[in-house]
Amino acid sequence: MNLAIRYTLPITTTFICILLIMFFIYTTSQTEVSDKSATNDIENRRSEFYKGLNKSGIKPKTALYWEEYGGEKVPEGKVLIMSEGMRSE
Amino acid sequence: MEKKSRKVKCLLCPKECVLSEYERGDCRIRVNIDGELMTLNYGYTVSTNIDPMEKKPLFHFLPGTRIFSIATAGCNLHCKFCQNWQISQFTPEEVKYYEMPPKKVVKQAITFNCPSIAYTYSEPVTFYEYTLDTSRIAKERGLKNFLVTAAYINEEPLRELCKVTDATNTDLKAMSNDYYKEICDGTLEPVLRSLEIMKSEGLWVEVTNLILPTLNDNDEDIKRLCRWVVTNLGADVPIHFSRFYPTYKLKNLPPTPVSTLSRARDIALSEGVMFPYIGNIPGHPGENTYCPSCGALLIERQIYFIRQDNIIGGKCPNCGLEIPGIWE
Repeated sequence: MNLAIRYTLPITTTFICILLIMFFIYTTSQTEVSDKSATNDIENRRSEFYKGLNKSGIKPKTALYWEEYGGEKVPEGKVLIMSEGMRSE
Repeated sequence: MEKKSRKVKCLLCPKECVLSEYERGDCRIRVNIDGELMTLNYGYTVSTNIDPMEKKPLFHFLPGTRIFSIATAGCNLHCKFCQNWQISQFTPEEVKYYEMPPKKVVKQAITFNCPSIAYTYSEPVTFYEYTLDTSRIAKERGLKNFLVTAAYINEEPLRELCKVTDATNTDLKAMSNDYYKEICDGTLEPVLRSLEIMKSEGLWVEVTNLILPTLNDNDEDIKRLCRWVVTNLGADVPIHFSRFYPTYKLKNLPPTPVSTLSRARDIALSEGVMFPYIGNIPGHPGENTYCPSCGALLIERQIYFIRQDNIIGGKCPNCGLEIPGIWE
């Protein structure tokens, strides 16, 4: 009995540690993927936006009445993501 | 100051869109560019006209004068019956525009002998900065400013705009929140609040109610609207009941019957509205202004033109009653 505990305990502990390490690596890689995907989204929107804007010759001007939004959760609201040449209706 | 977030929240209208970088708001006009909210329609008019004042319609404000009228692309509501959807429901990039900075607008208005400027056709709330700057210059040059609006705007920007605005014709589309949500993609309460603010800030206020068959044409709807106007804005605030013609996403509906509009006018009179009008029916006697005291014909209108104006010094020539409005 003592022998069994002596050998199985370290093996189990090592196995659990390996699992934890794998889980850590997995979650970290997922965050990187999601960060990368968010960056790509912004880049895509940016590129589409300027394609349309440059063609039109419109110069944007700073708006009044807005604030930086630091909240994590985006409240219910309305947002349109327009791409170049995309009709809104 | 270090930026905590690249997201921005627009505070101009009650929708308060939260935008990530390069997203644009529901109005199609405001975009988050590198963490800064920018507008895309400042100084870019898509429609410029000299209209008769009666076309707006504004019946108690400098009748018979010409009004320099401008619009840009975009709107923060999406009414299924919009008459100007070709400009209101598109982005500035999609619509042909003319570059017309505020100073040029004012200069043109003066050149063409227009004593006032209207911010109209689409929605001045979405060209807020352009309207504000133009109105300030116009005011300095002695011109009057007039908003044709759905008044879907937050209180702070509205009060700022009121400082340089003289009059408004505001759409009160219905007295039902469901109607605003389903037909216009908005809500009722902010519009009512805006109307009260504009009145309290001293603007000359007229109200337009577009009547659509089956959607907002029952007697109870019209009564509630009239009662709200009389109680909260005053019995002397003119209400224009306007005829709907099939357009945009509501081509399935027929034009509003003339009898419905006449009935609306009668209801308004019985609810104490002193100046109910009928719009979009050329030649209808409901376009004329009558003295609410003695019934004398004060202003006779034909389409957008005045056939006779009998008001003298802002008073009824028959009984001497002071007629509310800005006449000179």
